[in-house]
Amino acid sequence: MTSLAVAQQEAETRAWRGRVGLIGLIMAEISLFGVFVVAYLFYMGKSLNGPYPKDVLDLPVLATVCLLSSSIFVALGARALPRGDVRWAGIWLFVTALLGTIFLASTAKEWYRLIYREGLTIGTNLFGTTYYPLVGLHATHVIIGLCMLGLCCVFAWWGALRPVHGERVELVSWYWHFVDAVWVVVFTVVYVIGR
Amino acid sequence: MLETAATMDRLRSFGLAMLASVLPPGDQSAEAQFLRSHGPLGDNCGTPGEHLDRYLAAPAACDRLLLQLGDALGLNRIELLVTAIAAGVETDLMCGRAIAHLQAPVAGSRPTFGLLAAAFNKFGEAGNVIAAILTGAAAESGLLQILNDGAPLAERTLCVPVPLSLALDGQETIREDTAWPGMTLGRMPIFVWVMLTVSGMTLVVLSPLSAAQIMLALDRYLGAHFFDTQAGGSAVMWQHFFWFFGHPEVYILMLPGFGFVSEIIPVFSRKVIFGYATIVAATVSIGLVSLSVWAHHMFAVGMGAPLNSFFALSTMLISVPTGIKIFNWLATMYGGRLQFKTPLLFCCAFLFQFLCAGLTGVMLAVAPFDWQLTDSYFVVAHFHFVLVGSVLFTIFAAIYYWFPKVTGRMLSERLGRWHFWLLVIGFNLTFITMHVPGILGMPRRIYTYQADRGWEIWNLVTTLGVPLQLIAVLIFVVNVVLSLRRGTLAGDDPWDAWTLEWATTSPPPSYNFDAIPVTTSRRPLWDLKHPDDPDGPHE
Repeated sequence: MTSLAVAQQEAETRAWRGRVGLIGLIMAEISLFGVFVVAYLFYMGKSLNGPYPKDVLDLPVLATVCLLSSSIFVALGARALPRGDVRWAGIWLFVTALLGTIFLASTAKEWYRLIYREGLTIGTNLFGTTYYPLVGLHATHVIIGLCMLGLCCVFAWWGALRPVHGERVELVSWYWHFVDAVWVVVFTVVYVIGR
Repeated sequence: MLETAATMDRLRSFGLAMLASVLPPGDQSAEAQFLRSHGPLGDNCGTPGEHLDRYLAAPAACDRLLLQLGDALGLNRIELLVTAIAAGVETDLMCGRAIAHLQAPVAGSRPTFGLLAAAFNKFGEAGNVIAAILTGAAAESGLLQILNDGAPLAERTLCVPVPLSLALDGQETIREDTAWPGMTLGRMPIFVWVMLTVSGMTLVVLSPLSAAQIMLALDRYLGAHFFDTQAGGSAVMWQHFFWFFGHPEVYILMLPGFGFVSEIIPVFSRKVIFGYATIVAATVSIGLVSLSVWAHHMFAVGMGAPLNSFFALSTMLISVPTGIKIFNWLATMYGGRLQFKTPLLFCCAFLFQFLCAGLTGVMLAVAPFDWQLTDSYFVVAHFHFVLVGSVLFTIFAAIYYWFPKVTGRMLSERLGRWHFWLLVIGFNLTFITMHVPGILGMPRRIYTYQADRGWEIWNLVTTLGVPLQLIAVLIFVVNVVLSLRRGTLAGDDPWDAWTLEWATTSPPPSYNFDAIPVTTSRRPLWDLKHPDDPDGPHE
């Protein structure tokens, strides 16, 4: 009885530690992105030669809609799991991963166009120097999030995902929300202000 | 902590009363009073053995579980009593302290065989208590674990598995909060507050350095132009990014030192820290303001008047919480019964030297003054007053303070004094003097200079301080090595301190505490030592 209670409390403490850890990670990531955003804003309009953002950048509307709406689905998934609704949790997480993949494909397409059609590389001018690291850093985080979401989907498929893992999936959802929020900033800075 | 009359009949109280009978008659300490509060033993109605039999015939409800266990395992009366006492140690810190008090000078807070044998001789039948426990049903069942297998019999100690002891005592609920029952933010030791602040700063400040390094790597290996002025980039941005890490880093180094000092000064002044809340607030605001002062390293770059003014002001602003702390420490010492042991000596030197470091810091925060002295030996001296005169001295204070807790042995006070005085003289000889050639115009990072500059005498004195510091540090190393092997045993609480680390043995066991103590105030150990005058109402 007692040892059971202690074990339960320990499980709760661990999950709490996970949350603190993720909050710490998000704090660190915010200041990491902050520096790249500051660099982008500082070097905005200081390119010595073209191509310039207003000539080559298009608003990535579809990608943005996909990524932002995926936040809803990851929240649905993270809520379905503790309720015991493993099947729907798996489905919502899969939809999230799918939308994330569409976003990533759109970024890849944009990079392909910029590099091979417009001839913009990281060394072309200050726009390239600041654009690729900022968007690339965000895309890296999307890839990491997709790996985690993919693992969750695979585990759900295998039946290894159970309601007790609700806290962990919730942490994945927090991370995904963070990636979304960063995109709001990147979108504003690169595609709205910077164009 | 004192038992109430309602629980006087419990088996544990019986065992503790038995232990009280081996107390020296004149002992009036809190521990002795705690033991005696469990009632007299062997009044006119018979021997202790008969008492016990009478109690076992009609046990209290709280002992029923233990008696059932005893029946199931076939425990004899001695084993029952020992289990009850050991369970008491697991759940009640005062119980452990009382037993440790009895068996001093053997450190430890669990009942040992030597002590139990002495107490249970009253039974008459207990000629071989040790053998009965070592080979009896209790030990075989795992109910009692026996620690220190290699030690002499009288020094082996007993323990009861924690969940069992909680169940025996009917205290399943005490661990609702497995972390630290009773610990609140307002009761956290200042050192813990400091580390919380430093952790937050580390998170926020180190990743910009990573970002800057990523940019530099991109510049160098992929041809990006972040810091490449030929392509419109800006080397000044590199400085900004670096110092956005670099200056908070100074506080990341210094704040733990503040934490050490805030723990050590009260103990050796025999006073509560002055202005706990202000120190905590100052710590957190140093953490926050330190994020906005970085560019005072770049006054000479030519950032322009607005930026220079902003960073000069923010840098002066940060000296306010720092000054608050210095006054707090001084006020803690003021009127205290100062015990000038080595840790306090290092703290005193720290106070003086950190004041100097802070004052030259405020001077350098004035941008025009900084233009004059940038990259001079004045800056080098300021920097060393912070990192050696302040950080290093607090680290030495902390080592002298916590070494007994970590190793179980005291550092030699005599060698400590040699270490302190040689270091403080050598340090000040070197680095106070170093300010002067800086003011006279000697730039840093040079290996030679023309003979007519008038810097020779200052550099000579600066150099003379070095061997003194070297000898001091060697003495420290010798002190550590000798004390590790031959130092006097520290005991649990050599400084009569008030924070919880001193409530456990030195060195602490891997599980830290027999029973997780309940925090009742900012000085939980004071409350345990002085149950009649707890801190809580005064906070």
